[in-house]
Amino acid sequence: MSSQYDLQILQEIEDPTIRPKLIMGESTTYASLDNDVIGIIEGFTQKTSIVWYLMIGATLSVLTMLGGIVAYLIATGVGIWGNQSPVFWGWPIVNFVFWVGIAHAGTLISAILFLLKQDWRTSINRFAEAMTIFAVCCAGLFPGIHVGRMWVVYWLFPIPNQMEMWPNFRSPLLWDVFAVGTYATISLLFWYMGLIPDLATIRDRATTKLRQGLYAVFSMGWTGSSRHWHRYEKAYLILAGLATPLVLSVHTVVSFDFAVAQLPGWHTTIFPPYFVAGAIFSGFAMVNTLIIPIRSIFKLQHIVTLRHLEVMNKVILATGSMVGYAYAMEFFIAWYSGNPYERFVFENRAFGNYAWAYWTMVSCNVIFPQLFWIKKIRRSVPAMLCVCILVNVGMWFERFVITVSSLSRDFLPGSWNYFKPTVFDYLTFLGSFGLFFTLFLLFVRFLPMIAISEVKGILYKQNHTGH
Amino acid sequence: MSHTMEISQDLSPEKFVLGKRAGTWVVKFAGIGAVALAIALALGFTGDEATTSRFLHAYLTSYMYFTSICLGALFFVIIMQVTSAGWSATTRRIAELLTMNFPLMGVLSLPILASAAMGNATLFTWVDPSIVDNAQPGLSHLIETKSAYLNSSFFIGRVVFYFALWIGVASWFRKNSMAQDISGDPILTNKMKKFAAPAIPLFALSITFFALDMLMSLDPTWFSTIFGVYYFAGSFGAFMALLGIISNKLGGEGGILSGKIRDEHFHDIGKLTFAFVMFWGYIAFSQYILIWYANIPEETAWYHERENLYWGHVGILFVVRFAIPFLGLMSRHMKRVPGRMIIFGGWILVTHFYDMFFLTMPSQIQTLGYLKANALAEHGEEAAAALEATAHSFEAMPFGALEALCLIGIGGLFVAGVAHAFSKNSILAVRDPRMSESMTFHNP
Repeated sequence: MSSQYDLQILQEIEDPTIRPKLIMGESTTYASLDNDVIGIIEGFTQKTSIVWYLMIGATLSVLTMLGGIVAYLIATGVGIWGNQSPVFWGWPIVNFVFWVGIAHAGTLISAILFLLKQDWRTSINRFAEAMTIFAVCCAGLFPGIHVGRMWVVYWLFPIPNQMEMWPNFRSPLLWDVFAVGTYATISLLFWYMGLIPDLATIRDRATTKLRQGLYAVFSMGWTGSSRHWHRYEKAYLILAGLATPLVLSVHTVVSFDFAVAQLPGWHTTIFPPYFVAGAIFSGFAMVNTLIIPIRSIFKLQHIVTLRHLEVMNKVILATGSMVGYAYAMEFFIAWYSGNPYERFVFENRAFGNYAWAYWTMVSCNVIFPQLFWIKKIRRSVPAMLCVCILVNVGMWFERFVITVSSLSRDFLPGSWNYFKPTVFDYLTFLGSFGLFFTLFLLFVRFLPMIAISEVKGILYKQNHTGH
Repeated sequence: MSHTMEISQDLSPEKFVLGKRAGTWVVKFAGIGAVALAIALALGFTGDEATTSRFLHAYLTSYMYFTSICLGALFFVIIMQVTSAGWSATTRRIAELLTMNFPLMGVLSLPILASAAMGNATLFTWVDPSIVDNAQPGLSHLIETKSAYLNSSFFIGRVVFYFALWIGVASWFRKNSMAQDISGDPILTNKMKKFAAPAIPLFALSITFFALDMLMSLDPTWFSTIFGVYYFAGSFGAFMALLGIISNKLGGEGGILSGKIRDEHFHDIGKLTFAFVMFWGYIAFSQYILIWYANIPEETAWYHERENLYWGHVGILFVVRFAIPFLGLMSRHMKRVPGRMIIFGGWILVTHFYDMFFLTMPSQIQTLGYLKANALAEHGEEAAAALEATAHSFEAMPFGALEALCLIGIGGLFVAGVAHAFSKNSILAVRDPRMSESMTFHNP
């Protein structure tokens, strides 16, 4: 899975007197970049087409199954899930938080790293933003189907009505509707706006009328004139500025769902930044999990180099350590508070009936990512792939531990119960992956995976600063 | 890279030592500081218990304020190395020199450590939990359950450890960076980057527990898991504001670093200051809303003192420490035009002091309550009334002579320390391999 470019870049990283190249390959030009990226869309051969059809066939079947389950759920009721007293928030909420968390990488890369002038973001931002939007779709599904009476799901929104009935504005669940809604809108706009110059390039290269027409519609008459670019760059900066607080606000509001309650294990003040760090952590892990196979299948190793992957791993290490810091603070303060309920909840997490989930979470989120301190592991493609997958597993378990372990043993021992998921819990979660990967495969097939126009800017800089 | 060569030839470290220009400040500020501190100590330790309590709280306020700036500077040094930042190469030495004040701050922690060692519970009530029982029977039991952590000897040991760590880390980075002034060896940059990564968790844990020990434990029954992040957010923001002021002074027209620190640096420093104004606002809001919303008495008590008993500080602080600089620094002009950053930099430094005041001083009310209850039980109504009278005069005059003397005292010594560092050392890391990048980059 590594390539010739990987070895070359490693030598450059070690020299502090130069800035290592971001785009590798002596013969890389603007035209060759177009060929490398847009060529993927144009040049689907019969062989690759068959593989693609097989894959999307599989994901579509899973998606269809999800449709069936949702239909059954609506017809029967949420009782088909394992949610039972006292655990009324089971897997659907866990899955919701899991997917929203994954959705954080895209906007962090495209907005915050843009403001921080991190040029390396250009090779992966398109990919990460697309993943963000697909993950938000999956996330949005769960609260939608969890409300029970799905046909009145629009009651979540404050729409004026003759019944004078409003959602509770003091509820963080309503804030979620706004936070996630705003996030989805801005992310989509940001992603689409970035796509426009590249869609125009596809249009200009198109050899069939159909393709030319379709991409012409979506590129909205982009000509690449300097006036277009001027406005584009202005808009990009403004959107980046607006999207930056959103990266923090979304998962902050999600953390409020738990933390405003009085339940020990949910109510703790570090939740907002801790959830944000965890979200970036899981999002970056997901980006790496997907881009590692993609860059080798489609031969993009000179654009997404080992250096990019290593930097991503460093961010994973940093955010993983923040998550570890939050776990440790929760434990320490639970003891320090002297509050017997607080102390019990954390003892119960580590040694109670959900200890297996707790230690899965700790190993995957705190212990394994620490391996990235070691340069060899951070730079080994198979090793980082393993760690990133484990991080995704661990972050799902984190939400499970928070949601279920606190609820299942609350203040009243008489009502304690052990949560057991049903087959429908498993299948709904699996189904959300069907949705995610269907959208992902469509993206790979029809849209440029790399922000070509931005990478060209980097290539220009690289060639004009005397390497 | 001939460009680099040209630049580095006209840079020799000797050219950037401020010498006498800063040297005259040392004597002046050290003198003023020492006198003010001596008066404050004399007043604080000769009055009644209420006066001692007030003095110690006032002292802690200023102490945590100036230590936070050193901590912000240390974090800047570490983070710029670990991210291989190019833009900041011309300003990093200023931060490195500011961290030379850690030994001073370590020495200045003595009155606080002494109060803990002597079992004087007028600052930290956990030093002698029995003092709370006359006011709230049985409360000492709750404090005693934490005695494995909250006890004088462990507390003193921790503080000594934090300072040993910070002094060690800061001087290691400074030494290597200054060695590079002479040798110009780029390998030193790699070495510093390598050590900067593990320095981050060490820094994060030490600043967290420092904040917990010094500020959160003032009310030993109160707790908040975000507290360490809160102190960090304020500290780094305040340091960035100070860096903005110093850079504007040194890099502006006619300054010794004119042309080395440019508009682009003012702009970037302004952006980071702005970001940390927002981050502080975010953390402060998160802590408040979660405690307010859940409304659990053991948590809200802390805000109760700051909101209801002590002039509605929560809202004022949020406006002056967050909203005003947020609006002010949003403008590109404010960040970029030479000299402008001094306005909001100064504003942030003042409001950061207010934040430290907000964290520290209101705890006095609780302590005074305990002291009064004890005086009543042990010495009768007259003694309690005397304490009440002292306390009453405080509430009418929240920022009084003791607070001012502590601020001038510790501040004077702090400024003298900075001036001393600037007068003896080059204030530019002249042969940093990224110097040319820092002197030529442009913000889009």
